[in-house]
Amino acid sequence: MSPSTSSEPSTPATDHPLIIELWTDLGCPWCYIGKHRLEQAIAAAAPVSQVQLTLRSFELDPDMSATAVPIPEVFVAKHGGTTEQARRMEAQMAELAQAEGLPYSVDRPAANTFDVHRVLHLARAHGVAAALFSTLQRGYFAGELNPFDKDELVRVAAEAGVPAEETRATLSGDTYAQAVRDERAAGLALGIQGVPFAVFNGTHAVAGATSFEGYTTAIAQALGVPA
Amino acid sequence: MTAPTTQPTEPADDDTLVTTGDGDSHDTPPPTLTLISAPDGALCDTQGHCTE
Repeated sequence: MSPSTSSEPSTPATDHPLIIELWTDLGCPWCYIGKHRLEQAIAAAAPVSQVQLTLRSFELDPDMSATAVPIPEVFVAKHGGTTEQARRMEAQMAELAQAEGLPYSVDRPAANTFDVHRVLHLARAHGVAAALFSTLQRGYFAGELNPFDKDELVRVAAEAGVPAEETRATLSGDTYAQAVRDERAAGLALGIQGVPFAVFNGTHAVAGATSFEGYTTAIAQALGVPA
Repeated sequence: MTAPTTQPTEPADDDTLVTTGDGDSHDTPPPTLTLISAPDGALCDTQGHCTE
């Protein structure tokens, strides 16, 4: 993600850099909404000398099957209830997302995100992880993209700037597997119990998807300027 | 650096937590991470529950 500023920043200008680490998982709907709000807060923040957003892997459910199945079925298998109840909950989330201008499909598939995280680590090596994640996230929640289809994942990664042969090699082996596990472990060691989880300049953190105002406050506090 | 622990500040109901490291073998001060939002905010947890 490229840093951005608005013409009417909500906080005074500062020369301090803004470094954000965002722990996230592709399958997490609150990460979708939270990242959108965070990006808006960054855009509204004071001009800073540098904005750096680094995505950190936090695989929510390492035990999840690699075989993609519809979201309502996953919910029922995990938590019980009926698919109708699951669809109602998803519909509520869709309403929240769509109110913020984010497309959201309740019919998207769900599966283990480990390989997606590995490809995102590869993308990080190419400097395009944030861009790739944004594309995957929006396409996935819009129901327009299946990131659990390896060919599709290779194609989208290539469009983001990751050579297709490197993505294929990563997916066919175990490259970045340990890196994904290590980053999750580091998150757990930080006390992370869920995602999204954002750390600002290593001093302030926001657990969960807070409001635009909440992220704005976090940025201001991390920069040491009035909100 | 050793793993940090999370504990509430005073007052406990101000939605602010402080994460502090429990020290390491060097003389550097422990890292402090001020948690701004409530930990029970809108998130997906490690059990796969997504709650608001």
